[in-house]
Amino acid sequence: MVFYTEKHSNNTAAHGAAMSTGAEDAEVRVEPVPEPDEPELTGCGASICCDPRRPVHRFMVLPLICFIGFGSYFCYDGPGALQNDLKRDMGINTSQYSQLYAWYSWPNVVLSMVGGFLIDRVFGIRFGAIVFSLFVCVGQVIFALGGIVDLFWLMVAGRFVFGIGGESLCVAVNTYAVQWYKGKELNMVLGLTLSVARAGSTVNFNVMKPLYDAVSENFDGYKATGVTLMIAGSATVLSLVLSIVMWYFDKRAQIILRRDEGKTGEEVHITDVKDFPISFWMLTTICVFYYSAIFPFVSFGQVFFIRKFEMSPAEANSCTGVIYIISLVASPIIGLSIDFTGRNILWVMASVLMTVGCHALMAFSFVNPWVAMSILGLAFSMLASALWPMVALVIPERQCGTAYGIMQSVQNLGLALVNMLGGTIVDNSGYLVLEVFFLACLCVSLVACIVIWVMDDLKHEGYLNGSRAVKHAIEQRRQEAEEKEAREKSEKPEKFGVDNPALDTTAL
Amino acid sequence: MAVTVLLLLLGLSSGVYCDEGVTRKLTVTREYDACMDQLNDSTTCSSHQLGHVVSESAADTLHVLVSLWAQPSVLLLHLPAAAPPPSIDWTLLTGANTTGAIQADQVLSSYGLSLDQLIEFDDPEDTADVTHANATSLRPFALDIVAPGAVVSNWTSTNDSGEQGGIHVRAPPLNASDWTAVGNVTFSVEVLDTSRRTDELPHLQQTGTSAVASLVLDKLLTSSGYKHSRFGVQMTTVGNRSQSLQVIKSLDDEYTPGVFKLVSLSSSATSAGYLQWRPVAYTAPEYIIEHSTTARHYAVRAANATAASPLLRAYFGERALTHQLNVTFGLSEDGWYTDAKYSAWELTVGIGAPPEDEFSLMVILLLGFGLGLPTVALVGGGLWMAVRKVRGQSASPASLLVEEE
Repeated sequence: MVFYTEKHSNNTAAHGAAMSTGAEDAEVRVEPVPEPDEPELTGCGASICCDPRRPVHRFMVLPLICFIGFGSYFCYDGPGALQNDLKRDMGINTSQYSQLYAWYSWPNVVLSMVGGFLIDRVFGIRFGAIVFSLFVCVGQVIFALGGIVDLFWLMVAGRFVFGIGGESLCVAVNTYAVQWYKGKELNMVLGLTLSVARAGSTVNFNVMKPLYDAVSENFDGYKATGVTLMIAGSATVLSLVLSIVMWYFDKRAQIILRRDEGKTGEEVHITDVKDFPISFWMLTTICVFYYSAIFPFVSFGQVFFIRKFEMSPAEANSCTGVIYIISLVASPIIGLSIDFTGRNILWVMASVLMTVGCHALMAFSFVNPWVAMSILGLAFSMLASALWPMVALVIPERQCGTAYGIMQSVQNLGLALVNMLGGTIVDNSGYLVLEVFFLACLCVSLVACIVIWVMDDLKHEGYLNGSRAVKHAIEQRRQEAEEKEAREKSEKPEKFGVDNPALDTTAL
Repeated sequence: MAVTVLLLLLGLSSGVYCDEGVTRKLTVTREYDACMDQLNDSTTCSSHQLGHVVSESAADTLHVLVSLWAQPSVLLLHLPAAAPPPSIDWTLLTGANTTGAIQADQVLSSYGLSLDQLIEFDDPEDTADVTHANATSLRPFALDIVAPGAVVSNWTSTNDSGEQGGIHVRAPPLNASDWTAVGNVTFSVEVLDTSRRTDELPHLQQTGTSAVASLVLDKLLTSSGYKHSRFGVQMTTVGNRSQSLQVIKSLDDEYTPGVFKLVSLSSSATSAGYLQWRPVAYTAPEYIIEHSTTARHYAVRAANATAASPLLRAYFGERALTHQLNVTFGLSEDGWYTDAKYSAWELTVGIGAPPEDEFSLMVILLLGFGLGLPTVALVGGGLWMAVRKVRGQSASPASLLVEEE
C-alpha cells in the first residue's frame, strides 16, 4: 500500500556569500544572513530517545499516537457489550437501544468531512486532538450519568456528544501518523492504529460484562449500568491525557525540526466532488453496504447468539468480539500480502463472498457461530486492507482528503440508518429476516464490485486489479506519456510572452 | 443458487395445511338453554356452564367444547360435514360421575386438554427448574373455576384477518384449600375461521381443526413463605393414541422474534390430537420480545384415566389414553414472578398433524433476488471479460506486459 511517494526534499540552508569589495567610495558589505538559533538539546532531551531527529524517538512516540484512539473505540461498543442488561435496566426495546448507535453515526455524516477541515484550518493538529478527545470524554460522562439517573434521553445526548469527538479524533490520529511517519513507516503505523482500535473493542467485549456483574453487587438496575459506564469512561480520560502529552512532544518536535503545522494534506473543496470517477462511487457503495452488514451485526449479535445458539451472555460477547481479535492480528499481515500481490478487486470480491457465506451459515444452520465469526474476522481484515488503498489509486493525491472524508461520511450515514432499521426488523420480524437483510446489503456491494471490475478493464487498463508488475508498467507508461507531452510542448515554440533562444541561429 | 431454487420449490410445494384458504363458519353458544331444557334448574345450570364453538366447512366440522366449571378443559371433536352435533346428557354431566354424558356419532377424531393444577415453587437459587424444588418449596393448587364468581364472555368478532370465535373465562377466586388468591387466573379458548396465524405474538399457526388455549396469571399473591416464587401449570391430555414430546429447532423466528424452538406433544398418527406451543411466556399484557421469558416443559408421563376433568371423562370415559405434563414459566435472571406479576402463555390444541414452520414468501423472494441477482451479474461479468480477453480487446495484464517487451 503506497500512499505517498517517497520523495525527500532536502532543505539546504542558504548561506549568503560574503563578498566585500574593498572599493574606495562606498563600502558595500555583504554579510552572511545570520542563521536562526538552532535549539540546543541538553541533558535528557539530547539523548537518543528524546531527540526528534532520531528514529528511536519516533518509535517512543508511536504508542502514544496509537493509543489516543483507544478510549474512543473502547467506549463505542459499550452498549453492545451490555445490551441485555441495558435494555432491562432502562426499560427500553431494541429500536430504542439502537438509537444509541444511530446518534453516534448521525453527527459524523457531516463531521467526518468537516473534521479534517477543522484540523487543517481552525484548530491545528495538536489542539484539535485535545478538543476532540475532550468531546469523547465529556460525552461518555453524560452517557453514564443518564444511566445513573435513569434518563434514557440523557444517555442518547451523551452518545451524540461522544460521536462529535469520536470520528474526528480518528482523523486526528491519522494526521499525527502522517505528520511523524510520512515517507517512512506510514503504512505499518496506519495498520497498527487500526489494530489498537480493534484491541479497544475486544477489551470492551471481554471486560464490560464481568465489570457490570461486579458492580451489580453494590448497585441495582439502572445505577449499575450507569456506574459501569462511568468506570469505562476512564479509558477516555487516558485518551485525553495522551493527546495532551502528544501536544507537548509534537510542539517540541516542531520547534526542533522546524516543520510546518500538521495538515491532513489537502484542502476540502466541495466542487471537486463532481469530477470523481464512477469507480470511486462504487467503492463508496461497497464500503457502505459491506460495513452495514458487519458493525450493526456486532451490536445485535449478543442477543442473537443467546437466543438461537443458546450461549451464555459472556460467551456470546466473546463470540461477537472475535471479529476484532482476528482483525487485530490479521490486518497487518493481510495488508502486506495485498501489497505484494496487488489485485485489490479480487481480494474485495473474495472478502464479500466469504462474508455472504458466513451470514448464510449463521442464518440457515445451527453450526457453531464461532466458525462463522472467525471467518468473518478474516474477511473483514481482507476488505479493510484492500478497499481503502483503492481510493488512492482512482483519485488524484491532492483530492484524497476529500475522498476519504466523503467515504467516511456516507459510511456513517449508512450505519446510522441500518442501526435504526435493524432494531425495527428484530422487534417485528425476528433475527432470520435481519440476517436476510444483511445478505441483501452484501449482495449490493458484490454487484458494485463487479461493476468496478468491468470498469477497471474498460477505463483504467486493468490498473486496479493488476499485480505489482502490471501497476508499475502502467505507471511507467503514464509517466513516459507525460514526459513526452512535456517535451513536445517545449519543442513547439509559443507565439507570445516566451523567449525561444533555441531559434536564434545568428550565433552559428 | 441451488439453495435459492430449493427454497422456492419448498415454498411453492408445501404450505398446504388442511383447508388452507377455506373459510369456515363459526358459531359460538353457551349451552345454558339446552341445560335448562333438560334440567330446569337454574342454579345447577349456571354453575355448570359449557361453551360450545362450532367450526364448519364443506369437508368437516369441528366441535370445541369448553367447560366452565371445575378444571378449565377443552374437548375437540372432529366430525364429518353435516354430521349431527354431539348429544349432551345434562343429568349425567352435572353429576358426580360424568362418564357417557357426551356422545356423538361418526367421530373422526377426538382430543381433550385440561389444566389441572397451578404449581407454585420457591426458587432462591434462580434456576427456574421445578425439579430442584423439594416438598417444602413446592405447592400445587387445584384449579377449580367457581362459576358464579367467574366472568364468562363469548364472542364472535371480525377483523381484517377474518373471524374469530371464542370463549373467555376469567376466574377470580381459585378454590384452593388454604390459600386465598388475590389476582386473576384467566383461561380462554379461541378458534379462527381460516388456517392462519394468530394476530398476536406468539403467532401460533392454526389449521382448520385447531383452537388456541391461553392461560394468564395476573397479580397472583405469592405464598407467604416464598420469597422468589415462580408459577407453572400441570396439564392433562386425553386421546386415543399415545403421545410423545418433540422439540423442533427452527431456523425461522419470523413469527416469534427471538424464539427458535417449537414444542409439540403429538403421536405419529395423523388423525390424533396434538398440543403445540412456543417455549415462550410473556411478562406483560403487551406481548413483545422485551417482555418475554421461557416456558419450560418437563417430561411427559402416562396417567390414570380418572385423573381427567369431568368434561373429558364425559366423552372419553375410562378407556382413553391419558398423559400429564408440567410447564413452568420463567428463566434465570428474569426477576421471578414477583418482578412482573404477570405470566401469559398460549398453546394450540388441535387435531391432525401438528403444523410445521416454513419460510414466508417475503423471505424467499428476498433471498431469491438478493442471492440470484449478484450471481447473474457475476456470471455475466465473468463471461463478458472472458470474451474480451479472447478477442484481444482486454487490457489484461498479460497483453500489457507483452507490449512492454
